Amino acid sequence: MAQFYDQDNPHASYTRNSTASEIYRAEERRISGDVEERYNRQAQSLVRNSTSRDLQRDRARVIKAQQRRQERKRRLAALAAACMIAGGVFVAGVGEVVETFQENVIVYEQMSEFRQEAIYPNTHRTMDNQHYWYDYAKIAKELEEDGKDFSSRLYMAYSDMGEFQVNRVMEYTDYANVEAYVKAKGFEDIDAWKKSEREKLILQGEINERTSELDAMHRELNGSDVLGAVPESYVGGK
Amino acid sequence: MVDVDIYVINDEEYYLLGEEIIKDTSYLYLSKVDDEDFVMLRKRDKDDPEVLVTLDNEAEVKMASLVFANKMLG
Repeated sequence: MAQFYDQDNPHASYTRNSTASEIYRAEERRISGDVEERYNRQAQSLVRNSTSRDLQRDRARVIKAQQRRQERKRRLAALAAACMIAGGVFVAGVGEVVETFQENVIVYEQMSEFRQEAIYPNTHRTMDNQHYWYDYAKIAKELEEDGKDFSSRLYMAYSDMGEFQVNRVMEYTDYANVEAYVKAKGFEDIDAWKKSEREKLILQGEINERTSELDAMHRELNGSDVLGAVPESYVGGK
Repeated sequence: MVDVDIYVINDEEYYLLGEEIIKDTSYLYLSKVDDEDFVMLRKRDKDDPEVLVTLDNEAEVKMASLVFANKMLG
């Protein structure tokens, strides 16, 4: 079971001398990385032509056709299962996600996790115990961690530490400050970037929440033959 | 036998599997008539509803997929 440091696999980044909790966290990261990669591969093969850098425009003409109901329902159920896997998420009341309260909970949970992981370990008391200081260089390293979304992490740091402190952190990155970063990314101002990042966190939170349910469903669907393995209960829908 | 809408895009035919509005944007779920293992996601252009455009990012694709699956499986 034990894996030791492997340069090709950053998710398995623990050593012979790691503590049990370090090994646990590394294994957790490795497993979640594998799951994400697998679903991304399926997403690419099943939901095709869905995004493009250059916006693709198709003029559509609609015609009516007739089809036997049973065949169509069967097709829809199979496609729904495939699409669900491709999307990397399990069914839920999506409409409710837009509720402000739930949004706040989702954002709060992710920010708490980030705070524990990146901010608290790099926040220190002064010698007289009266004040505290941030280790800007280390926090900058946390923001730039490989495989993590820099923009999201910056947003969480910004929300936690405030603009003044985060600008000090940004001095250790390729950007002069937060404003320079958001301008470089094409946002009109910091508020527009904050809004975009918040929405991204909400979507990501919803997806994270469903990952374990999806994993269970993936096992139920018996591996990669998604369409062929749709359980009888799904075929024909309700 | 039931009526279904078929969209003709670039001379190819697609079944309209469903259409949902999420936050003022109308998303379409299409499947190629001759390829069952195919789900295509598009949204209507806000200025011209007859024009279908690609989704902007992966997060939008995931959200649209989730809504679609939710709708199809009830």
